[in-house]
Amino acid sequence: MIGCLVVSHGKMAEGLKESVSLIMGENKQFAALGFFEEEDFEAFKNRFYQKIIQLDHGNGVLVFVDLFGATPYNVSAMLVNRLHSENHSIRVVTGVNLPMVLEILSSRNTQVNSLDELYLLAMSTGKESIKELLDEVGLKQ
Amino acid sequence: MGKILLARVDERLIHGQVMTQLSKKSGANAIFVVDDQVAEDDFMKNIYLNSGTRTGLQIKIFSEKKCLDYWMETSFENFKVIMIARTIETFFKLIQAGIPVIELNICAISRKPDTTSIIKSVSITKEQLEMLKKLSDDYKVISYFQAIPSTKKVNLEEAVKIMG
Repeated sequence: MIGCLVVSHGKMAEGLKESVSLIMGENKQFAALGFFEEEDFEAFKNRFYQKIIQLDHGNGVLVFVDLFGATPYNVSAMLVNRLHSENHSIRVVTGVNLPMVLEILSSRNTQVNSLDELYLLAMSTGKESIKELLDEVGLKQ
Repeated sequence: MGKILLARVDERLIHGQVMTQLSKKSGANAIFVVDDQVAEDDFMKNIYLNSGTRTGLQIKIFSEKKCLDYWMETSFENFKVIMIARTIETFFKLIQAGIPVIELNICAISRKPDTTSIIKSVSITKEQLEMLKKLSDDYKVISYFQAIPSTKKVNLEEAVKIMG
């Protein structure tokens, strides 16, 4: 099974993981990681690396980060070559939201088995899940 | 002639806060990252260039030497610059070599052996404090310690007291 890791500034990743378990129960090979202001940058990089190693059971890890261009994203970039050279595949999707994580966790065992398909599904679900109420119900003012 | 609006020591170089807040508020039109390691690493250079471009600002990444060359040759053209480096040492070299910095914001340096914590996100050594004092005495650089604009600002005098 493909591993899933959510990485954010502060507690958002942990909170998102909690919301996920509220909706669909506990998930295996699913973890959250937060970056905090007082933390050593190298220590964070190391925790990030260890999480990937733990989550990768041979099919790679899909990493969700909060912001494009920010620290969780940049640290993924710093790690990607090393991980690939050690045969750990990762894909990193930015702008994480709850719908995309739910979709991935429920699809990864069944319909979609490769990391290269899974990250595309994450991106399309993430984008398509953003709606506006009045537009949706046809009550545009 | 260009101008450095803000010089900043931040181990994370360009990141979320820089992208979302700093780039919009300061009136800058360019971000210069000065870092020998990143300047030589095409992959990471691309990552920073790519994400930085989203701010609408011009991004340049230099080694210390290339930054000085660029200053000597062009006086930074007409750029209004946010300059970011990972270490106090980098700015110490650049300023002594003639690059004009008025304000130096020490934003994020993580704890290492023999450092003292000045604010939550910054710990420095005695040697680094001496560098900041010298920059203040000889080059009138105003150094201060602050993570983000909404948090507590600690000036050099207070830092000297904290360091004992």
